[in-house]
Amino acid sequence: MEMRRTLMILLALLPFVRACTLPDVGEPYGDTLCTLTVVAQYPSGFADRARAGVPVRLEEINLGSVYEGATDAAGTAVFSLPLGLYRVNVSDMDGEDIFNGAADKVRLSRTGAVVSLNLLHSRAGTIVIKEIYCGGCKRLPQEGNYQYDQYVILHNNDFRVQYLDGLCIGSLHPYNAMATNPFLSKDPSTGETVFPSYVPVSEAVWQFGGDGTSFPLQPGEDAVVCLKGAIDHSAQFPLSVNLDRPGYFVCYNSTYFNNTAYHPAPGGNIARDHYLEVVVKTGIANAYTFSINSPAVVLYRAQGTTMREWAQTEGAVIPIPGGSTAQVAAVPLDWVVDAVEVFSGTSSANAKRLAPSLDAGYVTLSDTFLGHTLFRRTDEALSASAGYEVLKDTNNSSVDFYEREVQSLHE
Amino acid sequence: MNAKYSHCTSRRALAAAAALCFALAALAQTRPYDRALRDNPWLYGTNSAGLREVVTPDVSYAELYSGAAAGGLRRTWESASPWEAGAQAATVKHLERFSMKGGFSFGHMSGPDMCGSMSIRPGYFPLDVLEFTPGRKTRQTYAFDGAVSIDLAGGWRLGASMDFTSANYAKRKDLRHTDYLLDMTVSPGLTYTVPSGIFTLGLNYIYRKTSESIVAEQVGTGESSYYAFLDKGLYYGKYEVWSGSGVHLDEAGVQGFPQQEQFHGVGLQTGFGKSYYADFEYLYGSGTAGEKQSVWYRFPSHNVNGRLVEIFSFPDRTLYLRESYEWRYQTNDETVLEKVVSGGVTVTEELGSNRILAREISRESIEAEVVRPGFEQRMDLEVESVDVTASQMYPYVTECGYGTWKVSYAPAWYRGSFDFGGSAGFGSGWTDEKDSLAAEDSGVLTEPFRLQDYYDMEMKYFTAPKADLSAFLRWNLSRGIYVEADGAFRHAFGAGFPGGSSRASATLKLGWTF
Repeated sequence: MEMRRTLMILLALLPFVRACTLPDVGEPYGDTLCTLTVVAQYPSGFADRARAGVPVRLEEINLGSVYEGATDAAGTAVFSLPLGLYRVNVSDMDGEDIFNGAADKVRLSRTGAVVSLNLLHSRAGTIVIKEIYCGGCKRLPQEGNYQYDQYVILHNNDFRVQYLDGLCIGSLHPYNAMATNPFLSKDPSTGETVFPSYVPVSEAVWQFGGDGTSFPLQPGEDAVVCLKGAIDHSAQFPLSVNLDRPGYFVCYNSTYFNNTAYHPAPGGNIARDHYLEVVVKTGIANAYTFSINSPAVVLYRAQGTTMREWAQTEGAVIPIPGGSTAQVAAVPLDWVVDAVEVFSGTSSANAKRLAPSLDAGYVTLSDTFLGHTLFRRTDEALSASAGYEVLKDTNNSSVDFYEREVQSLHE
Repeated sequence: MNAKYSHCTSRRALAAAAALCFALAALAQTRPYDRALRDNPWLYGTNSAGLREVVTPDVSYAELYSGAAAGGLRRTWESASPWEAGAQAATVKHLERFSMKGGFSFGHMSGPDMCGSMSIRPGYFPLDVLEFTPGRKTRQTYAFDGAVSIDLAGGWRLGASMDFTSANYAKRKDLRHTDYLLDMTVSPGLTYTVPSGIFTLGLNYIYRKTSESIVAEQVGTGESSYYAFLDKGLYYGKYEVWSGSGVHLDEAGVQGFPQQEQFHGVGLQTGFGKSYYADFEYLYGSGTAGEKQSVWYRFPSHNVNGRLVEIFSFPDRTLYLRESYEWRYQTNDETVLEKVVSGGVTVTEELGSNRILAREISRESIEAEVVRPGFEQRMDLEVESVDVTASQMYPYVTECGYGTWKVSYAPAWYRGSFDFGGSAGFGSGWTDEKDSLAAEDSGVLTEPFRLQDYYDMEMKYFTAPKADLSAFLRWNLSRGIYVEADGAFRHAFGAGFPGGSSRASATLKLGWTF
C-alpha cells in the first residue's frame, strides 16, 4: 500500500514538473530554407552594364512576402528562402536606359532554383499612363455597385509637346490577370515564361483622331480618357465622378458598342472630335470590355504606317488560341508607348501578361467597387528641376504606381 | 452532458467555447447522476468496459434549463448578453451481466453584437477565421453519447462507447456565415480482472473525427468591403477582403473553409480494487484545412492524456483524489500550391510545405473531494499552459508562452428537500513573448500582419487576476422533480476591459431524477 501511494505521488507530480519546462520547438526555418540564385543577363551590346548593386526583388506569390537583394559584380544574386512560388524582378535604370527582367511563378524547391533573367532594354516613355480607374464604386445611396465610370488619365512626361493624334489605347487579353492566358508558353528547357512578340489587344483598337497636331499635350499636362460613359456619374451616385467635362476624351462608338447602359451618349461638354475611333473591332461584345479588377493597359502608336493600314495586313488580327470566336489585335512590341499591369488583390493566381520590357512589375487593386484608383507616383526631384510634374517611369509599375483610395477626379 | 466527466477533448473544448458564460453556474449539475459517475473511477477514463468495475446505483435524469449572462468581462468572440436554453437527459443502468450509460442533449444559444472568431471552438484548431461586423449569432448544439459494458467469462469485460456532437453556428448579418461542426468518438475496449479481484487491467482503442466548415457569404452591399482575418497563430495571419484568396473563404473548388482532424489512439488502464485507478492514453492526430486538391494546411499532433484516481473510505466520509493531465503537441505546415493548366484542365500541384506554427498545450488538474452524508466539499487546482512558436513569414519568429492557473473551493449541503452550495475561486495567468529574426540578412521588406488589438485583448483576459463566486439552490419536490437556480459572478482585477471588468450569469433548471 505504501509503495502504491509513493508511486501515485510521484506520478501526480510528474506533469507539474513537466509543465515548468518550456518546450524546445527547434529552429522553425531550419530545414526548409532553399537557395534561389538569380542571374541577370544584359542584352547584347549592353553586357558591360553588369555590375554589383543592381536591385533584385522577389515576392512569394501566395503569401505576399517581399525580399530584396542586390547583384554581385557578375550580376548574380543569391537568396536563402523558404520553398515557395516566387515572382522575380530585376530593374536597372541608368539614365534613359531601362533594363528590366521578370520571371513569374518560379518554383523554389528543396533542391534550390537558378533563374537566368534576360534583361530587356527599354526607355522611359513620353506619354505615360498616369491613372487607371477601373474598379468602380458603390452605387450609394442606392444598393449595389457601379462600374460605368471607368477612365484612364494620360500624362505628358516629356519636356517637349507631345500629340495624342494617332495614339491608341487598349487592354490585353485575358482581361483579368488570374485568367488562363493562351498567349503565354513555357520554355521547355528553362521553364521560363515566354511572352509573344506582340501584345494581344482585346476587343477593339481605340485611336485618338486628329491630323497629327490636333491634340497637343504640353509638358506635364494630362488627358482624361473615359472608357465608358462620358457623363456626370456623380450627379446620381456621389461616390462616382463627373466625366462630362471639356477636354475629356471618350471611347464611344454606338455602331460597334451599342449597349447604352455602358456607353450612354456623351455629355454636352464632350467635343465630337474627342470621341476615339474604333479602328478595328476584334471582340464580339456590345460594350467595350475592360476588366474591373485587373486590366493590363497599353498605349501604342503605329510606326511607319497607320493603324488602319496595319489592321488590313495579314497577322494584324489573330484568333485567340483555344477556339474562341473573338480575336485580338497583335500589336508589335516596339509600338508600345506605355503599359501597366494590374493585379487583383483578391487573388493569388495573378499572372503577368506584359513582357518585362513593357512593365517589369504590377500594381495591385485591392478590391473592386471601393472607388479606389491606381496612380503613378511623382518624381519630386525631377519635377522640381523640370518645372512641371514629372512622373516616375521605370517601366516597373510595382515601383511607379500605388493604389489611392479616391479617384483623382472625385469632387 | 457533464463538463467534469466529458472525457473527450472535443466535448471539453466545445463546452468551454459554447458556454463559458454559463460554466460558473454549472457547479450544481445533476447531482445524483453526477455522483453515480464520480463514484466509479473508471469513468474518469475512456474505456467503457470499466462501467461495471464499480456498480453504482441506477439513476436517470431529464432536465430543461435556461440561462443568461451579462457583463464586459468576456472573450473577443463572446456576446455581452447571451442567453441559452436547452434540454438534456442521461441514464446509467446496471443489469445482471450488462451495464449501459447514455444521454442526449440539445442547446440553443443566441447573443447580440457578436463578431470575431467564426469558429464554434475558437482556438481548438491552429487556424481560425475572424470577421468584424457585430451581429446576432445563434448556435444549436446536438449531442448524444452511449456506452455499454458486458461481462465475459474468466474476468474479462467488453465495452464500447460512442460520443457524437454536432452544432451549427450562424450569423445573419454581413459578413454572414455558418459554421458546421461534427465530432465523433468511438472506443471499444476490454478489461481483465485477476481472479482475486484486486487488480484490473484495461485496454481500449480510440478513434475520433472532428470537423468544422465555415461558409461565408455577402448578400447586402455596404459602403466598404467586408474584411476577414485568417489567424495562423498568435493572431498573425492574412487580413484582407473576405473574398480574397489569402483567407480561403471564397476559393474556387472548395466549399468554405473546411478543417478536419482524425485521431487514432490507445488507452491503457489499471485499477487496484475499487479504490485506485490510473490510465494513460496516446492519440495521433492528423488534421487538414482545405479539401480535395486544395489542402492549404496540415496539422498533425501528438496527444497524451493521463488520469489518476484514488478513493479513501472512512467510516464517516469518503475522500477522492483525482488528477488529470493532458498534453498536446501540434505543428502546422502551410502548403505551397500552384495551379497549373494541363490539357485545358486546371489542376493544383503541391510543391511542398513550410512550418508556420508549433504549439504545445498542457493542462493539469488536481482535485480533492470529501463526501459525507449531507455534505460535500471539493478543492481544485488547475493549470494550463500554452507555448507557441509562430513562423509565418521568413525570417520572423515569435515565441510566446502563456497560461493560467486557478484554485477553487466548492462546498455543497443537502438538507431535506433542499440542496445548496457554492464555490469560490481565484486564478490568474502569465504571458511571455519573444520576437526574433532567423537571419539578419534575408532582405525581407515586408512584415507579418498581426491583429494586435485582438491579441492584446485575449492576453489581457488570460493574464488578469480573476475571482469567481457562484451559488446554487435546488428544491427537490416530490417524485424526483426538482427546480434549481444557479448564479455566478466573475471579476477581473487590475486590467481594464472595454465593457467592464465583471460578468454575471444565472441559470434556472427544471428536472426530474428517476
